[in-house]
Amino acid sequence: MTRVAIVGSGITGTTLAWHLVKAGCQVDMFENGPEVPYPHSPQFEAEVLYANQYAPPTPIFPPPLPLDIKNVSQTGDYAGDLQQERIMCVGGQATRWFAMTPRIGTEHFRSFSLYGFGRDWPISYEDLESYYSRAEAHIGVSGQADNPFAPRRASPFPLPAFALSYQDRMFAEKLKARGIVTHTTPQARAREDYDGRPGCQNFGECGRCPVGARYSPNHHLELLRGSERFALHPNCLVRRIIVENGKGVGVTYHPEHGARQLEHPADVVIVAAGAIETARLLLLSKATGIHSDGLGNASGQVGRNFGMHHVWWNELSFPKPVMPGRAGPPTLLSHQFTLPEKDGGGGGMTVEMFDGVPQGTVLAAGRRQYVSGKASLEALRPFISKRALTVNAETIPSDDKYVALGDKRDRFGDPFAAVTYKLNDFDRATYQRAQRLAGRFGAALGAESLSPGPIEQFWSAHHHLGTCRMGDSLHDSVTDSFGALHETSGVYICGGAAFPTVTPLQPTLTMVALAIRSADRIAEQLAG
Amino acid sequence: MFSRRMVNSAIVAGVLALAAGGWKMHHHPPPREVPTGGPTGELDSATLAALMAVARTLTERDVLKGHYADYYAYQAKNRPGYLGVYRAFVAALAAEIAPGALEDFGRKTVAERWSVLERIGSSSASRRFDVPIIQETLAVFMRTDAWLLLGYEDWPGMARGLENYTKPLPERARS
Repeated sequence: MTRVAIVGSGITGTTLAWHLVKAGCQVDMFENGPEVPYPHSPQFEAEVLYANQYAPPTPIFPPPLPLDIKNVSQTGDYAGDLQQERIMCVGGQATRWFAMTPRIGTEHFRSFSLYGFGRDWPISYEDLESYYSRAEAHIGVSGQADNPFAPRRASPFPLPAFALSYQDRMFAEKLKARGIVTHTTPQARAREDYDGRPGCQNFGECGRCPVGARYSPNHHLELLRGSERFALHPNCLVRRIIVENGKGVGVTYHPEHGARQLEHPADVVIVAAGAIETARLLLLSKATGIHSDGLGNASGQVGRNFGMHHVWWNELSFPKPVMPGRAGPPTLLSHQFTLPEKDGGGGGMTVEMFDGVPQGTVLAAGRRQYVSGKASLEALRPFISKRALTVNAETIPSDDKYVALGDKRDRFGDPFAAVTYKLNDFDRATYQRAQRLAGRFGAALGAESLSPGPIEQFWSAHHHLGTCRMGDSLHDSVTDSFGALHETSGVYICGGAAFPTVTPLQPTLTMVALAIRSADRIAEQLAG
Repeated sequence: MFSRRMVNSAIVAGVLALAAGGWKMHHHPPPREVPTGGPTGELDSATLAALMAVARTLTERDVLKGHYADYYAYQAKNRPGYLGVYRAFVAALAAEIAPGALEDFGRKTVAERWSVLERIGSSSASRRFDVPIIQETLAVFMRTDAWLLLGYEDWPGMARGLENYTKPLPERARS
């Protein structure tokens, strides 16, 4: 039986495992973090229902890993905390996500050819369309084809869309009157019972779903546990990819983060550990010859082209209550501006009317001191007349955006990753465009004021991408379009690490689609 | 210290105290003390009942729909130190009222309960109660009952279904 080792149990690794087990492979999955309960009701209780904004911000879900097991250093312009953003547990980042699942538009696969920036992908939308459909079915996407800016689709969404909220319907009309087109949000949140998952009950906090209506990789991992061809190894730090005669033949790892190091032989090694840890593992897996600077790094590409989304939050204030927070966070959005402006006017972006009264807003209010319920109520009252308007902007790589090995070391003496991230001129132009758009939305909606998010307060949305980009050539990329390393057989890099560009669209559905495509390819090659 | 003097004495009582808006703030915010160490465990019913009476006092609501009791129980069970602080607070409460009358605390008038809380808050050892008792209770209020008072039918965190949010909220007085 063919043996596959997968490093990382997030949505990409789990999708690969699911399809490869179905194809008859023996899959061993290695995860640095611990097991977490599924459905994620303990997470919901800790972070939403009984959230304690005064207690130290140590996450309960998942329990924090020791700093000599999980660590990263960062320099540059990003104010977010990459250490906190990287959720290491069984299920990975998608144990905590809003599950917005658009497809990447046709043009975004060809940004360099069409617009002169970024890079063309070695794959087209047409190549990926059928895999998008399979990905939507795999994770249960609810949606409807009401987005005129979405690429052509050959099949309907597997689940019906979530209706716009009452307020968003009125907003949509106002925006339409001013030439702004909006539509519903495709989301991996089950509109009705699906694949053993319950339909959504609108707890209002999709990022932490207590019932499993919002997709989590743990759904499929629970199903995989019943298979004799699948083994999950939590709390295992993978230190090296073993290469012999130009072929990946296994991994070395430390079970339970202990001193004992073991080797796990495999016919195929897949690394799906996120952009930062994937680059780190390749850089650590040095060997002789072309691997002297790290595996897959003969041309020095590993760690370069790191990218993140830039999400800016703007706050719109209205003269009358708009009563936010009645639906799940994303309801109304616009993909009208996902293509870049001409003449250097900035990159593309999605614009989202975030309906959830952000927990952070309420929690921030609660962090002040109050003297009574009456005073607390009055402090909260302004929020019913506000809405968050977020823009999710594309970014392009530059020499000041990269992942390397740093000075901090783990308990085994290996250096942790060090991230450098500095804004470039493209990013600044994109921010200016974002502000123009926010003002246009605010005016169309009749807002009486707009509080813009400053440029330095961009948020990555935990979308860490690039570092091992796919391409056609060994000289300027790390993998082919299936994730196979150019210079070594039997080793695949899957997930966000292989993205050549950071488009304005949320990346997760594309990661799942690419994973299914890679799984098909790997199974086909192993069978042949 | 978390305590602040009531504008009006407890003897002058309720109406004036309520009109004053409750606890009086220090000019400078006191340092926050959050329980950080100690055993976890189940809350006994007497402690929980006293805490709920405190919640009704702070929020000035006779009937609470929010999950205050579950919140206290969750913190006691999951966060080190909370169980001890809750018990210490209720012991301080008991010391301020007639011996053996803790069970009657919840039946006192709001003004009387405010008065007791004020006396506890005046002690130098009371700083440890500010965050876990006063501020967190008000935070639960802001995430639950306050939403109803602002005109919502429910609040995030509840299973609210997929129909109501597509309709206008029923008109009703917002207090």
